[in-house]
Amino acid sequence: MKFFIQTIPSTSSTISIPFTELDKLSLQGKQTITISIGVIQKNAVLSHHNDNDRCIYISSDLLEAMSLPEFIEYEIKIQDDILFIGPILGMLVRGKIAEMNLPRIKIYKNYLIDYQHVNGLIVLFTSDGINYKKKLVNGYAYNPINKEWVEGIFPFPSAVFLRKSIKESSRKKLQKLIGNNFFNSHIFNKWEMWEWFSKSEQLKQNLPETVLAENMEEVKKLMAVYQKTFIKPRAGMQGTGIFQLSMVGKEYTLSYRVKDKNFKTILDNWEAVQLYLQSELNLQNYIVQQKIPLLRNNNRVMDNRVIVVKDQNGAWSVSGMVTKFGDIDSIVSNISSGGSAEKGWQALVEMYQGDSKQAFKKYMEIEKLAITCCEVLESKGLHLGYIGIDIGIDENHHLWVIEINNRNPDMTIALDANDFQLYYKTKSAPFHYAKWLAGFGGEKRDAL
Amino acid sequence: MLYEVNAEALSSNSLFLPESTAKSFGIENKQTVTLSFGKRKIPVTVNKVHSTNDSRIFVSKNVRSELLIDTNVKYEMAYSNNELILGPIIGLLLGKSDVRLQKYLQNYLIYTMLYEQINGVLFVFCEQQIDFANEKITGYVFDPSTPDNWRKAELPFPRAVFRRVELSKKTLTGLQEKIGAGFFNAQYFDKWQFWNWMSPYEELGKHLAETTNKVTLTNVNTFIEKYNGVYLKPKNGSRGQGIYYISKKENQYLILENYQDNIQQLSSEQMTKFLSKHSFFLLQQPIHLHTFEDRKVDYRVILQKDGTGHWQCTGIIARFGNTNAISSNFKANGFAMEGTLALMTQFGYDELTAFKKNQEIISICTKMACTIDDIAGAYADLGIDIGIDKDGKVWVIEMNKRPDHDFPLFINDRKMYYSVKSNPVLYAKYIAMGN
Repeated sequence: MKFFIQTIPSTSSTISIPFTELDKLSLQGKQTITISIGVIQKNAVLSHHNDNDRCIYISSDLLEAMSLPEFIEYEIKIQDDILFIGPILGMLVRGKIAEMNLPRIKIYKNYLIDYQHVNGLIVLFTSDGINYKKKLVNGYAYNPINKEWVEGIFPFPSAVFLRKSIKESSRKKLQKLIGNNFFNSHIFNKWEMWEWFSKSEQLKQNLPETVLAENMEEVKKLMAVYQKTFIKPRAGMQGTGIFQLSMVGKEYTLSYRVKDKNFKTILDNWEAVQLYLQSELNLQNYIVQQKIPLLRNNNRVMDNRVIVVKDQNGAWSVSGMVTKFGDIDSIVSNISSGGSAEKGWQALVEMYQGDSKQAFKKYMEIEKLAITCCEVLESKGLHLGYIGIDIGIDENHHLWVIEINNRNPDMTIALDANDFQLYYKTKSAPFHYAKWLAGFGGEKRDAL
Repeated sequence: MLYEVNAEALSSNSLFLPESTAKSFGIENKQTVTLSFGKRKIPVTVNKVHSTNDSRIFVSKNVRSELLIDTNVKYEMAYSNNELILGPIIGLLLGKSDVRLQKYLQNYLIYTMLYEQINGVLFVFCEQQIDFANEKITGYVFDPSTPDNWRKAELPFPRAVFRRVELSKKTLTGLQEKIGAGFFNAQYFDKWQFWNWMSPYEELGKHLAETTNKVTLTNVNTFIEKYNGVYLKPKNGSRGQGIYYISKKENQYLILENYQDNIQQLSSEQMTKFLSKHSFFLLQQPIHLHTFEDRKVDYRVILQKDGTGHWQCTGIIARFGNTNAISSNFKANGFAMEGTLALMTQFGYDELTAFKKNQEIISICTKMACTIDDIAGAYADLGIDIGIDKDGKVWVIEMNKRPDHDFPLFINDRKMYYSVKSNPVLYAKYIAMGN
């Protein structure tokens, strides 16, 4: 059941709920009750009424200095003798509150396309809108009726989806306010990822061997073993700034791509390579990685973007897969550099020449690998709600974890593959998960 | 991590674990733990061993024989509350008799597609192979190293059983008692029970057609007055067989039987007599489903639990029925389409509107499935038929407990088909490993 909330101007500290709900919530005979709205808890006098079984009245003194919009339907629940009204969820975005205006924050409505199954108050805010002391936030509440944001001061949410990275000091302050109930704030680089994953028994066989670029001796050894390596920026995304280094006899070739064009530099010996790299690149910012002989389709490199989300039950779940094809002869398979995408399933069926059983097994193997990656990241203390993992398949059909796109992975890749349903599913996932974090989600809770 | 089990002449009740495994579980040397294999348990003393091979464990011979451990397959282990689970042990109750089971063994291979992710003992069995007195089952274990892929073996009662076949009442209650909630899709129920369970909840009842099991002339008249007509349906029927539509015209009752062309005209007296022959039927409010070019359309929602342990929608398939039938439960003369696409075709929705309607359908079905779980025990594989009326309102028509798994094939979606077959097994593993 969902309820509207009406504020009654009064100092009686009273909450009045429909008589018919008293029984359902086992509140018969109670005189007082603790109510919880977002992170705010207050003691209230409990009363009941018969005038509208969809309405809860709250006296204004209980909502001091904040507003609880009346255009929203809230869910309620009782846990440990506390009456929870919610969910109250938040989205922390970049910028300053003074710079926010409706056209600017319009794009964030995309996350609320399935608001009908979220309900409650959703507040969009910036760092400077948080009042840690009073546990309030100055921001914009979502009005589902006219699908517009409304500015105001609201209770601080019990779960927050971070659309920006935050400083360690802010992290500590948030933690004090809502514990671990905020997600997607961590950034990690490729080297950190490699260090974590390579220690995992289940993942190490799916990881390309990787060394730090500044350690030239290691790079040389890697070249001796594999003849072909990638030099990648630690923090890069979308395949930008990647070099391929290959060795034929004593000669080395460095290939790279600038503005959709392929370039090549020939270097006569290892000393020349070393000199070139040390002068051209700030090697501290790079890693060097074994080149995986990824499967090619008509000379186009392919890999799979696996989209993994925390679902409405708090469980990791793969919402879909998109296969990316690189531009012909490009060293990378990124769509922004001229490639194309198609639904992951179709690509696998083609790869197995129509043998859908093999395709299904491989599909599920990819799903499992992606979820294992997420579990390892989680075990390192990273709280993520949705993530894009690039998984490649080599000529022996072995799987390789190529890259992790976290914090704010671009989900429009689903649209590149013309998969609108996947795009919507992914976009609506963070708030389904936030609702679960706030204690209002889960299939069971949702039931009655 | 996978383990191979070796039975050796060791002192009884002993278990030798690789050091690294014992360490990861926090088990001390000489600690006594309960070793479980399916529903069987035995206390064992753990000995840590240093070994170059971390994937072998050793048990004494009495442990193997008392637990009925199959040493030809590889296992996973899980540990909590001093219980070490060796597994999974999953039973699929698929055949009606041993003869039929043997005949269809090759067909059952589809349930083993993801065995590389499942491991342990995955077996099929039938009612007559259950030995309640000795608490064991003779079944066919999936074993790709054998020529037929299946090997006959004596097994303990499993922790997870998926049922897809008729059972005697005695076996049903026997298994429920022994296996508990791990025996899923166990209890079947009819349309009347379904209505009785759901209708008390306002949120759920509003998506169901009003139903009564009191088939009287008075009730027929009440329904006709309220809804202009009424369905007379068998409690257990499926595929639209034996459904009548009753309406009234100038004191005459008009009866139309599904898939038949002729209309019977009956007087009140004849109607009373007709109803008395159908006293075990139900009367139900007719829902005016939105049609597509005169075809009735309904949607099969495949709701299953998977490896996460939760309900998920595996897929939705719309059936566009025969133009004249009063239900769309019809394979001939109709066609099928993927759910989202069908919503766009039938209602002219754009992708976003179709997504939202899809979410709404899944949400309603999931709520009902959770309620059924609470009332009638665990389920993990349901086929829910829903319809959508002219106003876009979702009506739940029926919940099938042993759903036809072939629906995805009607739209030629192999991925969905394999998922439908794999999900109950993935869920069984979730249960069997103690989650």
